Amino acid sequence: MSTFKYVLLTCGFLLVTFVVNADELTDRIEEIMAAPVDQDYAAYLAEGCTSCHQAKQGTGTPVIAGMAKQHIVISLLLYQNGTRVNAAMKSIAIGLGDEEIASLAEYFSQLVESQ
Amino acid sequence: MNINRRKFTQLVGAATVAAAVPYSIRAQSKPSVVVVGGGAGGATAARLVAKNSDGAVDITLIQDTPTYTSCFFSNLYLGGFRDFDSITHSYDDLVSNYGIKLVTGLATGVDRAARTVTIADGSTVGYDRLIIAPGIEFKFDSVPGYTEADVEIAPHAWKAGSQTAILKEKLDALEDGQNIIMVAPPNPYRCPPGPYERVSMMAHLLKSKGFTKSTITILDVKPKFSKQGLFQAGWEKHYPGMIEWIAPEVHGGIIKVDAKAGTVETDLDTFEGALLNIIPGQTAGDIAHAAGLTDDSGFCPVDATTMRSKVDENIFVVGDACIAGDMPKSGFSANSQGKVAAMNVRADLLKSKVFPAKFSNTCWSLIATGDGVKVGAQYVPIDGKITAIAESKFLSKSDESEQDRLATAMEADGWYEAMTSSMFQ
Ligand SMILES: Cc1cc2nc3c(=O)[nH]c(=O)nc-3n(C[C@H](O)[C@H](O)[C@H](O)COP(=O)(O)OP(=O)(O)OC[C@H]3O[C@@H](n4cnc5c(N)ncnc54)[C@H](O)[C@@H]3O)c2cc1C
Ligand code: HEC
Repeated sequence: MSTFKYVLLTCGFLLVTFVVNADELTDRIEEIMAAPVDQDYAAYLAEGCTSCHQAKQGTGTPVIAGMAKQHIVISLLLYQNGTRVNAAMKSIAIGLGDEEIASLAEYFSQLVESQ
Repeated sequence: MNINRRKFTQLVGAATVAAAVPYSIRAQSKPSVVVVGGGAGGATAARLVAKNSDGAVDITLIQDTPTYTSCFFSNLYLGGFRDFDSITHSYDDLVSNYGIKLVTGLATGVDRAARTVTIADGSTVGYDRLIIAPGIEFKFDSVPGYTEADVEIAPHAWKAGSQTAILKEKLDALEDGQNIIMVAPPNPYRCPPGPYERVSMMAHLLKSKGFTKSTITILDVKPKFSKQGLFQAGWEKHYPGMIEWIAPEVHGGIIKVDAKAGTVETDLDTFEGALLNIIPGQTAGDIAHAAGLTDDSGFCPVDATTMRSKVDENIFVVGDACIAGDMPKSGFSANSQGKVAAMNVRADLLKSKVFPAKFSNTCWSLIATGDGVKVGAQYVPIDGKITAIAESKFLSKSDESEQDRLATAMEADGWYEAMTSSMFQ
């Protein structure tokens, strides 16, 4: 997916976010974006994601490798609070703390989608 | 550039050491891991130990068949949504990408004192850590009258491969008006929604051939089953009048299966089918019993934080063969357990970091074209037991839109690709 699409998506989600719970969530996003990242921990946690998220585009589940970090952070927070709806992703997201979201978002944003 | 230089230094370093040290010591200097069973749990664990240890561990994968046909999505093959090749996987990448040694053969015994595994041809492989992931074996005596000699006439197809192909052949050969009888297994068994997804897929196939007279009867030994409301509503919607589920309190118990005659006798009646699909009760794979790792339940007790056997600290058990607390026996669960075991095996041998165990499961089922449902949860060890986190549990809703059901069916396709990559690539 192009960066342009991410920006659009992110803007869209942010808009929803503002309507739902403006300040609290934007503060959290900023905190998470700035939070320290543990690479080893991220790699371990990421193994729990790659059983559904493929490395290359296919049907069904989106590729998250190479996504913008902020988009991953926002998506996980929106699954967590129920703004973005998917039962499987919600189940996973509600178990993630800020440090885990930061590590995972950094990890996947650094990966390259394989062809 | 950097990586190249580092690799080069490693190579030169290794060569120098190799020249200076006698073979016997060299052989011991690299710890060895043996994995028995290259399925959802074992292939995942073998691949991850290899992938994350950068050549520092010798890994041998012992698998009885040259390729792996997955039970997951085998129902979709029966329904005509997949071909056999798409559910059959090669071990070539594990060998070429990660240097895993593949032994194609049946492991027949484990000498826990000597730390060796014996293979059917009489050879042995030594280990520092052993991962046991053989899946299940059948308890044929759980179904009166049904024996191992009957599996080609009345297939279980609860281990995939030739059994799956036989069931498909018999299903395809049915004529309109000929009936199917399934005997569903007692708990605990692999894939709780599996029998009911299978019935859905068989019905889909018959319906798509324009059959109007054939029926499918499920003789269950359980009073209720996984995703029951969703399946029964789906059957009503897509296959009205075709599927009948009969609870044990109604049929009164299975008295005798006669595979050759194609009959199942119960207290209530004798049911006749041109196709019998008999799924017996299950226990851990033979090798888990042979190694003395099972308890009275027939499965292997493990430490919930590591997947280490409670019987032997050098052995880990993952997948259907282990007792995984609240987790169902599924490919997703086995894969998740394989990851935790791999991390702990590496920590034992290489002193790598260990993080708190987290487990996950989602089981998707296809009821009809584009009508997918799912159930799942996340799990953590609590008081020595792998425990479902209450808030994480989810189940598809009965009043969902067709769009949601389609999205769920597509997610399952994505999962299959990702899951098999995390086993074999
Ligand atoms: C019809 C059906 C549908 C299913 N659908 C799903 C689904 O949609 N999603 C899901 O998550 N799960 C599903 N499952 C469940 C899933 O298939 C199992 O839970 C999963 O395969 C268990 O993994 P495992 O590693 O324990 O065993 P397996 O995947 O069975 O792997 C064990 C392997 O070890 C080999 N082996 C055994 N003993 C030895 C030995 N002594 N020496 C050498 N090799 C040996 C076996 O041949 C086998 O290949 C389904 C099961 C069935 C039957
Ligand atoms: C059970 C399967 C499953 C697992 C495991 C899983 N995901 Fe997802 N994920 C999905 C599905 C399905 C979607 C698409 C949902 C939707 O339509 O909103 C998704 C969507 C996402 C998105 C949004 C992508 C986009 O296109 O906007 C992100 C980010 C994400 N997942 C991250 C993760 C992370 C990080 C993990 C591991 C902690 C994870 N997922 C584990 C199934 C899964």
